[in-house]
Amino acid sequence: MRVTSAISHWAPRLFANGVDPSDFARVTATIDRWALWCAAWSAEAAGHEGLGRTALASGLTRSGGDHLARAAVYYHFAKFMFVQDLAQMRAAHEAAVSCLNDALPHLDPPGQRVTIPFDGAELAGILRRPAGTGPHPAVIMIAGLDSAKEEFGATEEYFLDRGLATFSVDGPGQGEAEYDLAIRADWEVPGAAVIDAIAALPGIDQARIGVWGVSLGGYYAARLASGDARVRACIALCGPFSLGEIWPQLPELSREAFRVRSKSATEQQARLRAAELTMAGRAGSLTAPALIIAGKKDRIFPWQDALRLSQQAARAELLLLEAGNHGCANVTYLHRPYAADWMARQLGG
Amino acid sequence: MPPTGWPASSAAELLLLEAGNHGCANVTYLHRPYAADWMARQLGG
Repeated sequence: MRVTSAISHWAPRLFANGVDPSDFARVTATIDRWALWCAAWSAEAAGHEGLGRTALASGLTRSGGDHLARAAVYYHFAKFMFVQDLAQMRAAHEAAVSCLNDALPHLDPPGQRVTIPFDGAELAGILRRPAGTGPHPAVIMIAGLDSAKEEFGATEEYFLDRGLATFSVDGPGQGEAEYDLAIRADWEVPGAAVIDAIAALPGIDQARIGVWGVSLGGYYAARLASGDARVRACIALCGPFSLGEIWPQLPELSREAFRVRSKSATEQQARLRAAELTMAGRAGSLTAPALIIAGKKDRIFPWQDALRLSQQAARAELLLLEAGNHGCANVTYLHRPYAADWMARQLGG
Repeated sequence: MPPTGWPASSAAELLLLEAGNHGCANVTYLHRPYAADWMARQLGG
């Protein structure tokens, strides 16, 4: 049931972010229960990692970078919802991080790992600067409940191609930070630490910073923009308005992932924590230009949440896609270039 | 042009992909980067 649910909800997302459809069909055909998910995808990832490491050893750096970045995506999706076996999940996660780190110098443009001290731990992110001397506008890219920076390469390209730097970051409860830091509602706090850090990096224009967030990251992006005037533009892709209101409708896998990553002892406690993630009383403070994107076929977060946010924010545009599923991962061509053009207009990319 | 008498196969490399379908479209990652690297080596790209 969980495997069917995962495939049903997430197949287009895996394709949209770098999983080969033929690999997907072959790997998922071997998984007849959820307990096998992480191992099956990790084995597939290892094959891509091997291609990458062989290419690098032969001096074929461009191929090596591409293979390792793909391996990172596969390891990430091995791990993404697999909170039922944390040791196995963490091993896959560490492989994802390692593969992407090793790919970074060979990507075009290359990436740079940046770590930011925060709340007794650290937030890790990947900075990529577009061609040219800069200083460049920058887009902070924020993951959701089960995404992480390793998943964002395909989206980064759209911003980079338009002259915008990208900073894909693991926030509290996400990716590398999920072991030490719990999910938190007040994203203007970790967001401020991220902005402080990237504004100080060479080649980044601290006066031209935007945010983009997907799924629960759509909430985080809006929340950050509502509380930090340095955010000049905000894109929220398929985020919830109030997570607590839709908690009972969430898939079981999502509720479990939230419970673990919010460090809640019980589902009841998780539900209370989820209720803290709301734009109620905050949406009016979102005064920066905002592009709110939603799909009318979203089965995770209802599109009406996007409508609600767009009506309450001061300067919002709503891009509502009839056929879009959660994350609008099945119609990326309808929002990725549009969103990148919109952000470039706001930030002067 | 190879010298006269050079066996036609000597300059050829065969990349045979076990799982590959027509066009090897189901395993592009096994031949696209490899082919581009191969061509770059031949042409000094």
